[in-house]
Amino acid sequence: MAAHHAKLSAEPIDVTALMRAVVQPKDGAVILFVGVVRNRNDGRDVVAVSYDAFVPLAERTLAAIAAETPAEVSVAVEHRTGRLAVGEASVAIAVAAPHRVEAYEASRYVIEQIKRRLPVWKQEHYVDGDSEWLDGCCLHSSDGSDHDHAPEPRL
Amino acid sequence: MRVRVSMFGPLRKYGAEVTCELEDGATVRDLRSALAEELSDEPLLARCVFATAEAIVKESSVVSSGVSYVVLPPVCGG
Repeated sequence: MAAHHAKLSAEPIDVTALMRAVVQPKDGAVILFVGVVRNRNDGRDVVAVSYDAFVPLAERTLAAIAAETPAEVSVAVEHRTGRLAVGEASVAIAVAAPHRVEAYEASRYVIEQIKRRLPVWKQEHYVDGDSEWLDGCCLHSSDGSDHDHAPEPRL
Repeated sequence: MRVRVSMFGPLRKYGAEVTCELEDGATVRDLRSALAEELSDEPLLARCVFATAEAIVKESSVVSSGVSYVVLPPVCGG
């Protein structure tokens, strides 16, 4: 089984260090995905985003997601906490595999699962000084069907 | 028993944690009701789950006094 790296970080993410951490002689493909803070969302001008996280469960969840990728895939993934300016990396995922197909698939899998499962919350700060917590995906308990769930927003 | 629940994301407006008073043997479902009372029926609670540092907990599981609980609103990482 591949050894993975999964971490929540209050410091800027060193994306090249993540790539170096995953690649092994058996690998022929490395994919680096970096999510960055953009300056516009839902028609509003964004200057920064603050990320809040429940760190112990978030790190367990990241490690679990990495472990769900195929055995020949290595994953190094970090997600930021704290206030990030436009252009800063909020999440970085380095994936290495013997061939590109499984590397691309694993990279996509990890980011999509992060969107659905990672206990992280995003507060946007706008040009006009206002700020707002964004809506997201409801988590589920294994017997939680007895309370309401609104429709899932677009990821 | 007294149970402290940590707040995250949009629920941080209620402070870092909220204390609930529960009967021994109470379930997470009871904790949800007690917290709703403390948070003046905050509508977001219906879309939250409860968790420990290890995992999301079932609504039917019994609340332990020695465990730290958190309430997790809908997530939006990435």
